[in-house]
Amino acid sequence: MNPLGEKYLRKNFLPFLFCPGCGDGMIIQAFLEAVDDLGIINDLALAAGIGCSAWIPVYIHADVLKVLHGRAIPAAIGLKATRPSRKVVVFTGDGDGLAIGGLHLLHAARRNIEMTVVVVNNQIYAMTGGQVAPSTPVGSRTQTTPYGNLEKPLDGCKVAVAAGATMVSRCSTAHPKALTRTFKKALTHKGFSFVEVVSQCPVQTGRYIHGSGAPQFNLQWLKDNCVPVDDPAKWIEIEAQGKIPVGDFLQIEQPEFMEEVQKMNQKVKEARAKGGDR
Amino acid sequence: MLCQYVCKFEVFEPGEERSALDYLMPRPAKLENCRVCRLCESHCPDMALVVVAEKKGKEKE
Repeated sequence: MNPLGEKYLRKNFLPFLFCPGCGDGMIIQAFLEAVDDLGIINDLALAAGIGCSAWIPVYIHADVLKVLHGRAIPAAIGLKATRPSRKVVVFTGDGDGLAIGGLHLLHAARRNIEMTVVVVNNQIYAMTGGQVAPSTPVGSRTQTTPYGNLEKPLDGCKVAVAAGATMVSRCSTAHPKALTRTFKKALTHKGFSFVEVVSQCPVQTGRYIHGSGAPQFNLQWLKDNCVPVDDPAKWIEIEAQGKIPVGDFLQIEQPEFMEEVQKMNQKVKEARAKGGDR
Repeated sequence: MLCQYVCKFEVFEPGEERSALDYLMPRPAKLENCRVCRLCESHCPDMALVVVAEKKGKEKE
């Protein structure tokens, strides 16, 4: 087995229950490479909701909080509030994170709470059999859109930027080394970091939307359609061509929420000690 | 078999052994072609591959 697997995976949970060719296993490997390079396995606290991607942290030998569908982010906020020294990472999917969990994403980003939210975007609700998700492209035939999807897909990266996230990136499983580099940046970012990973789902997205369930076909689809872009200003141009831009969209430094809360608590204590209230 | 697909040097071919989940596994039939690019390792969805390079000459890997 891969030495990262020997070092960091829960052996009694193996083999992975992911479908053959699923991108989730590649995401685990890229994430563990980043964790290994940074040496932070003992500082990690992972949270996940429900879905194929929410199984990612279950395989990792770290502290994991597996909660209800869509509620990984509030659980992660609680984790961060009570254990501020931990590196909190949420693994969620396009259904779990952008549909039922969408509002939690908005407010965690708005507050700039130090955590990394990884949204694994396979453009469908895969675990439940292939229903339309907020990220499903227009015209796609799925279990719940047999005549074609009429809804415009939600762009998770733009939502995160609009909500106030201080680091936003998109990667794909077709570029695993870039994915590792992005994970390293996100894990060392001081603030809310959002990483969208466009991932292949041969069994659902492949069969229903792209026309083939072969893992090689789906990986090639990602290589052909995910275009690495250095300049965020060019994202619109790539999207206008019907492709998916991948790269770093935003990274800025702003006050982190938990630190600001601690500073405020300290100020109030000092004021009260002097006999005042503020 | 994504390793076979991404390998540019035709190292892998379909094998006859089956995995714990009863899938046919690829096998590295032409190891002499390997250039240690590690594309197979990074693309394996099951983290089943490790590429180990032998040191030759002046610590060339």
